[in-house]
Amino acid sequence: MSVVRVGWLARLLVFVTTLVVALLLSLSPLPDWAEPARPAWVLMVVVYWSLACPQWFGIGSAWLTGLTLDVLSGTLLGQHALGLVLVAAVAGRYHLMLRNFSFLQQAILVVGLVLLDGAVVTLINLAIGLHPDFGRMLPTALTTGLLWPWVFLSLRATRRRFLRGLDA
Amino acid sequence: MPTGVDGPMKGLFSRDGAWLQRLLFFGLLSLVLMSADHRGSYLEGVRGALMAVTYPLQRAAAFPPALFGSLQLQFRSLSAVRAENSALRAEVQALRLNLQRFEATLRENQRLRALLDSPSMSNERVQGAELIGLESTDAQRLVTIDRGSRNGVFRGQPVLDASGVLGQVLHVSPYSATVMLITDSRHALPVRVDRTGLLAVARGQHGSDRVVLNFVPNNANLELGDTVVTSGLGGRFPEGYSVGRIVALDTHPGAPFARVEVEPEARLSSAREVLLVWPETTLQRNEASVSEAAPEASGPEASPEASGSEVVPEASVPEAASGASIPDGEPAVDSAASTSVAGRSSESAPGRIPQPESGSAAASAPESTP
Repeated sequence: MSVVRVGWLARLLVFVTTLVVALLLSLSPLPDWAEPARPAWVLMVVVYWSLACPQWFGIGSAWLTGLTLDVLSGTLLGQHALGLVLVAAVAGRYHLMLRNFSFLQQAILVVGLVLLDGAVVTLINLAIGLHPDFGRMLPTALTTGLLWPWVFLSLRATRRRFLRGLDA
Repeated sequence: MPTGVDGPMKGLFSRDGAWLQRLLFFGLLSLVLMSADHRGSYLEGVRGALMAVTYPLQRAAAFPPALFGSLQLQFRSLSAVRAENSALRAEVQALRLNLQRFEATLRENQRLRALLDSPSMSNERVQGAELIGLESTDAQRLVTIDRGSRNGVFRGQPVLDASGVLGQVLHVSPYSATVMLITDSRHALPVRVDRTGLLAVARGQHGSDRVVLNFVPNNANLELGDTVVTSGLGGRFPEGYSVGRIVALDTHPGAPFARVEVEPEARLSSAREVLLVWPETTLQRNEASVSEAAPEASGPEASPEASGSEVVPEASVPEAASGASIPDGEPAVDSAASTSVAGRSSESAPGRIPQPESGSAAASAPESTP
């Protein structure tokens, strides 16, 4: 009984901490030349937890994360939320298959998910009368794909360190 | 281990059903949220509250660069500091000299306005704020500052930096506020060309760090290097603040309007300190007199109320601060904000002053001001 309760708290702490770090990385200022290639940190963390603990981190958690990102970046409320909901839906639905992917395959998948998220945001911006440029997503998708293996490994280490034995 | 979301595995189809339900639920929730946010300001309160909750994060994200800056300051050599000090002293001298002339001109201006019985220009209250966040894409340019409704910040408030107009406040929370820069493609700013008095609307351009003057006739008297200042029409930005300089001028004979590009004076991408302005309403068009605009008995805060009938709601905000002030300013601000999101002329606050509202109206009467 107590293990279950502790597990719940530990999971919450680990999820929130990793997401906060990702949000900070997405928000902190970068030099102008690096700005277009800023990796999609939050998306990577959402993808990881959707793969690793789909029973605890699902579409609702992704939605909350996206909403936080919207609030923090001052964009239309719900725009990143929708993107991340789709991303988490794909990753969570096929987690068994995706866990067995090689790093390369996973990285390609993550690139695809970044583009999916980017397409959603682009469509929303088009709908509200902005003129977004989908091409701007490409550098981000590339850096995100390149960083994925490292993010994956460090998040897995985090999970094994703090959530081992908590059926996560 | 593929257990179902709520309890033991119920089989593939029920799991799929739950998955689809969740996807649809949160997808629709996002859509509803977006349209509510886009179609008006039902969600301003919610956003304000969420911004307040996430303020520590915002603050933390801005921390590393700030820390780096202060470390740099710590380890600067004494000689560099001395050199900077003397440069600053020289600048202060020059500014003082300018100020003397400016004050004389101001008095003269007030005298002349009194003679003409026209509204006076009063002093605005100004407060510094620090930039703590930046969201810059091709389509939107937003920054976050560390002052919010606690400090009397209100929606639509003008934001400047030391050299020119930066933008206006878009969202407010108790501790922070989001500012839309004038280069945002949704932003439009009523301006005047200082040399000729030509009125125009400066719009942000998609993916550009310049603003463009809309609806300027081909035969308008413009030159490269002309200074563009705020016109004060629209009632949101006080008049006479520097916006930028004309850097590109294309009068194509076949085109209906000239293409005029303005390079903003404000350091939009590198500013760290910005200035928030509380314009004291200067728009008592009809019955105003100079004496009335001067602060009266109950101190400077009271002057907006004391200064005439047409009190713009937000002018009373500064000291009355707190959340209650946002709904106050809402009617005028909202409509303007929602039109701005829709990509129309954003600056003019309908019903605020008896002036032409939209960009085209303002600009189709060129050469009409002093």
